[in-house]
Amino acid sequence: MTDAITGLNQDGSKMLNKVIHLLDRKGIKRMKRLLLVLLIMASLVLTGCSGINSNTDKKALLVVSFGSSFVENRKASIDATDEALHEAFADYDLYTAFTSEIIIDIYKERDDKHYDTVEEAIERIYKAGYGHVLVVPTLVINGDEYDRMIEAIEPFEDKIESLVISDPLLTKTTDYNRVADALVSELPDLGDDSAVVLMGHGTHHHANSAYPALDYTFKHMGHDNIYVGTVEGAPPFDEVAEDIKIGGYEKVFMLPLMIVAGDHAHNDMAGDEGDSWKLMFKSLGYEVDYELKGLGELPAIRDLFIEHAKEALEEESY
Amino acid sequence: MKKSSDRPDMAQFHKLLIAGGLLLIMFGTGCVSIGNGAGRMQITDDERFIDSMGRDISTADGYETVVSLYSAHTENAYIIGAGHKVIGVNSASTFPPEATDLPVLDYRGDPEPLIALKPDAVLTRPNTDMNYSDYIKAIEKAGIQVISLYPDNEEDFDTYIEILGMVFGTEEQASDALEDYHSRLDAISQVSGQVDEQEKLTVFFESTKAGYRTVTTDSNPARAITLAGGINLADDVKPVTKGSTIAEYGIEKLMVNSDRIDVYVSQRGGMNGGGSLISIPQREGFSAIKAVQDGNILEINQKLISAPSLRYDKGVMQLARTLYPWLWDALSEYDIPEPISRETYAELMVKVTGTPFFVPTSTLYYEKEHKVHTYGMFDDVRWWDEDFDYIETAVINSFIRGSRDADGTEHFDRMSPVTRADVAFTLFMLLELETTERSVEIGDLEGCGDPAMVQKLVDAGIMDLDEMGNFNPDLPVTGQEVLKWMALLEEDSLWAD
Repeated sequence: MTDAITGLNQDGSKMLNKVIHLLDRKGIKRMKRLLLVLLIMASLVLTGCSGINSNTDKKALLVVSFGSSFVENRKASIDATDEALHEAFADYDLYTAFTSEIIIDIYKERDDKHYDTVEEAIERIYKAGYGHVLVVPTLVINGDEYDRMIEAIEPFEDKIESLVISDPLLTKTTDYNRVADALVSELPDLGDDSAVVLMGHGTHHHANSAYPALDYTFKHMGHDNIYVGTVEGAPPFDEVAEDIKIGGYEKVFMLPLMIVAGDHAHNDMAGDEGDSWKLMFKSLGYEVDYELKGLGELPAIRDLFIEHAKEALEEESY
Repeated sequence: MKKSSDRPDMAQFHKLLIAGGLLLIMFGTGCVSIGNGAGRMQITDDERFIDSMGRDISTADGYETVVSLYSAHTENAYIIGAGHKVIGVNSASTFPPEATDLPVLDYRGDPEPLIALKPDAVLTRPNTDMNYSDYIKAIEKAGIQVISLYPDNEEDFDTYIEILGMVFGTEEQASDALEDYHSRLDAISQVSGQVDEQEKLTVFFESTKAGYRTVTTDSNPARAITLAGGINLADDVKPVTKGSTIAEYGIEKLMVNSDRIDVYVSQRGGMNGGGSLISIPQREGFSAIKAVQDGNILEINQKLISAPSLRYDKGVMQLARTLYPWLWDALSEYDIPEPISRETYAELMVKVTGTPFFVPTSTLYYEKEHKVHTYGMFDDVRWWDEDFDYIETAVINSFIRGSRDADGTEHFDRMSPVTRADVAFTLFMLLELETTERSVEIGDLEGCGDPAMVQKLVDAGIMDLDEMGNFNPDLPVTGQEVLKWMALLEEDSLWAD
């Protein structure tokens, strides 16, 4: 009986139990069965359409990331961030989702391993009857991936009593200072002749402005030698190289401004072919060094995601 | 008592399920894995042939304008001297580079753009013919001759190229191209024959990362392993579906044989390729594979190793170079006291570093801007040149630079002698140089194109100055000098990985 009602929403479950209890006392077996079937059907319909998960203490933490097919890099960044967040919100049950369906398909086909899309994860959480859901996107900017995540979550806004979504890394003005501080704290000791280049992904989305804004923040904070560039947006390589030339530096140290040191970091930043930034900076005469470490591997960045999540919960409570 | 599955309706239902499942598997495995030939091609007389779908086709009137819906047909058409007759291609046709300037047609979409081109014929393959039959029928209805070709095995390959020659009216060039192709394969086979049986390396060929599949023993990649002098680990596999060249292997068998795999080859490109140099070592359990431990992983383009292309020998050659570099990348021929040209230097550098030939895998390659160099775009290095792969690879890997005019035209300047400035660039790119305390005064530093590089190499004692304290960037260098620098670097273990 208990198994039969698993997956129903909380209100439905309680009502169903009351009716069953009543029927048990009277011993009207056939009618009990009939009623039970009808109630389950009704409850299922309600769950699918307009049931609200409320009056429950069940809490779920949904960590959303882009994903990575590189297993080791995923473990070091995404999995580690998931764990750090779960540790910070220990009374929440952890759920994870990838926004990249290509990466989900790779795991499915290659390793027979299932990862949820955001749609699947939120549906799963809802059906499990959680009334308090904290969604943490471990994304750098409020770009396409974030928009798509919001689209997937929005339909559940009225179905889950408390549905809280925290901000990507670079959202509020204060975030820029905090991210800049966190990144500076993770940099190795470099001489005055070294420029630091943080290579972000970049996008056609208007949120690309986060990259030049972060570059500005570094400069404003007195870190004139730190430059932010992007592979597919602005500022592009040429502009970063021009600025570094003006700065008169001899060495370039690169770090990916991406959660995972995946394909872009290995190939576009540190690759040995074509337009890799390593080769292009070297061909301009710089000594080049780099670290293939995603932002998700940096404890200071993980802490920021935790702070964002806490702030989102605090805002919700007002 | 009769079991429910014995009932006629259930039996029929089961058949349907099996058929559906098979269809799903066929689609799921992607184009390379589907049985490619519906039937054997056949030349019936000088002006007639039967295509792979059984069409009886005459070439009496000639086909002056042809659309190719398969990348191998496109490549082969150009190689047999018929590129000027190709007026449209599919998106995967990225070789030769000039094919990417042609209108792109998509057989998964509307046939009207192709019909509007009014070609005399459309070249396709049975796979497309069967799976996109509505598209193909619409073309035929518009009065365009559809020709479906695919060689199912090695024996059919010559017939296929001969038929292409008939279609384009370039029979002689097709015959010559075939002769050259077989000569090149024979030459590789002869050199590989020098490898003792005991020294032969075992290869695992990953055709798709999904399920860690490999290839059947009669496939082009399996034949390439043999031609390159290797041993195919997967010599007892069966095709995933009848006629397919893809075969199941799986993680369990890979792990059981992990210590036997000397070289792990991954097929890249296409719909469902293998893994990458970066992703393969990161997979769960893969650190147990000998090839992964030794860093002997090779990515190879599907178009060179699997497709029925006259470029197949390049794939075989690449595999052979990876297996036995001492046979293929010997440097003795460069040990000469005369200055060497930039083209020779490019070849030398690719060999000395053991760099695999660069071939773009993405169909989007030409849609992106390439700052260093765009593959195939030198006006003095063409895809049919013997040293094309060496020069392209050397430039893409930044061993040597080409130049670019304001209008974007790229030159390699192949016959000019390689200079000290060129060598300085190579050394700087290959080495991880540290700034030293020493700062040698260089008389002609201002005349050096890359003063920072020259200064660091001189300060590190890797390159020297003349008696007058000049670097002489434009001075040609001999083959012996280049080898001396390379040997010095190797001894000092200063190689970049």
